[in-house]
Amino acid sequence: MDASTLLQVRDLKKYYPIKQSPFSRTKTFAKAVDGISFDILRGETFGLVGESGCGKSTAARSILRLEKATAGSVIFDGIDIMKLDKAEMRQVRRELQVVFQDPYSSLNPRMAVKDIVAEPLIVHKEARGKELEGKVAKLLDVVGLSPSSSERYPHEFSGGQRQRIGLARALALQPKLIILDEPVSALDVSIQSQIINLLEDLQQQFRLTYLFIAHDLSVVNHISNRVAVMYLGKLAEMAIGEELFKDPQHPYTQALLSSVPLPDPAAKRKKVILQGNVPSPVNPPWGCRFHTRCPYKMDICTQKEPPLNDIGGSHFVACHLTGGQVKQ
Amino acid sequence: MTLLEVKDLKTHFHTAKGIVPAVDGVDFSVCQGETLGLVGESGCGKSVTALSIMGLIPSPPGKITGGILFDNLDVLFLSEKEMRRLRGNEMAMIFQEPMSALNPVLTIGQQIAEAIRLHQDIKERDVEERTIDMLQLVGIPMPERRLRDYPHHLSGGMQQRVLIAMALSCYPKLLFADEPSTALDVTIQAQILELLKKLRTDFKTAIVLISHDLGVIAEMANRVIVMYAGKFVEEASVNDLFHNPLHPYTEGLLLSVPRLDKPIKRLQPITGTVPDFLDLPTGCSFHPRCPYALDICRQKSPILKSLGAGRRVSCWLR
Repeated sequence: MDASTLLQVRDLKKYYPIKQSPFSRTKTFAKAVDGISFDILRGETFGLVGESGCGKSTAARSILRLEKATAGSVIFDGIDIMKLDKAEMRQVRRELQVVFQDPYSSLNPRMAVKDIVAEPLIVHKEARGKELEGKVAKLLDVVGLSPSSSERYPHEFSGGQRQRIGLARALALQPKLIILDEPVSALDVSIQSQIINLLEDLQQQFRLTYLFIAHDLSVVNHISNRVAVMYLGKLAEMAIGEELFKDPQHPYTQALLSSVPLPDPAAKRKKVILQGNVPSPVNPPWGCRFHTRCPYKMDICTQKEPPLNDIGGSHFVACHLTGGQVKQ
Repeated sequence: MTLLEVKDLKTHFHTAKGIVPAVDGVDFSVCQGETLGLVGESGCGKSVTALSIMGLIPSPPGKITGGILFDNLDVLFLSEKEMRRLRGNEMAMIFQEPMSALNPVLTIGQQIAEAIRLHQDIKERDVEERTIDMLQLVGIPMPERRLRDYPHHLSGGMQQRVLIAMALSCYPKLLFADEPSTALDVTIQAQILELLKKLRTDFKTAIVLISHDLGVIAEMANRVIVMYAGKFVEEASVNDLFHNPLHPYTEGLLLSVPRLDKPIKRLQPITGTVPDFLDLPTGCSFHPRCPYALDICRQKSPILKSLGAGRRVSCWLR
């Protein structure tokens, strides 16, 4: 593994068994994540986008080992974390933190802000007494909360401020990687931009690496260096952000981008409106998973699953249309 | 032709902690066939405005004053029975969360038929036919079979289509669409917006589109009103609003969203947070967050001035 790679995910799978009759012989599974591989480089923001149910959050939870992955390897800073026992995993978690979407349900309502932020420091025996107090105060300051907020409880804060509390807690142990699962989706427009700017500042200040998961393409485009698009448990396309948004190759990425309404009434463009819904991950379509909604479907798409091909310039596409061809 | 005229509408909620002026003196009108966008952040009063006109604000705690003239009827003076004849028939509403707006124990066919039976003079044997027509219209495949499905059988996008079918089943003159696509994925949102566009050309329905998503507003609306803390701060045609915003709040909103069409290095957020209705700032409600605030902004509330050509703004700078 390259020294510049912080997280390496290889062929990660997470299948959930579906309850069936006890007499049934075959077991069926919902294949939430079905073999995804990517690398995250030190100091970058890696965006993972997709519509609801595509498996992006399950992928994050499996990487964090909040869910037991069905198969695959996750190598974080040189350690294969899928093989660690509980105590070893706890040590790794110091450097691998997470912030969830809903700031309302991810903070303990019965703990004061200072205790929420201090908890990881106490659990990991990082600090106590005066030193602990000082560290907590500094963390609150870093995320832009006033010192007076430390005695208050989560319900006294707005969504944006709660997300700041979550960030302060995630930063407490000086992590290397923070997984941000839809961190701004629940926030109002004017607050969303405050948090995005804060995330960018924190990344600079503490040399953080982010895995940024979201469904909002404009936000992902803004904050990410590289972006992967997920569809029904698999990666459809992966490229440097600018390239992906300027020159999308996968028909799904193209449709996704053209569906985003632009805040400009004069914008003229052709929309690709996909028909139908995302199929169920229990019985994903044969061949390419996108073929049931793809406007360019060919015969091969219904039979053979396209691999994630390198088309040059660190741009990867899983589509038979671009199958293995390098762009001119 | 003016379809809806609202004059000095105030919806105040009397709570134990004091009076919440959720909508505080708004004037506007909607013409036949046009789409009016109503933008603002959560809690600014945009949904309450729609619910007040629909007669769906419980009283107490709500208290509505002002005038609402719909199709030459003074809505606030109608009895509940008369209101019921109007609602779902002449004016209808679609809500943000389709799953919570549908009845889980009735089939979708029953739910759509209910509105038709109630409002339309139509023979019983024709009701089902009309229901199927409506489902077909909103693009639900195999409507004869879907009729007997329950809401939980359908995906979010399909549920939203059912709600739209229900709202349109009596061909209303006015449709309130309250964040109709916010709970949906972008590819499904695109389908729903396309459907609304088709319906407004086919039926000349006037739409009041409530959304916090500036992209959706830019794509759908002819005219836009921006709301902040219960008041209108700006009104303009869609082109004027997006290309030449006059109110600092509108300008702030436009600068704070990341854009796919014009990527920028750093966003310019609006500082601070939305004020609490029980503790509104003196003067202009926006002044604590406004980069251009003057002394007068802290003391006196600006009025919504008309600048001609359908443009109104409430700001001391203008």
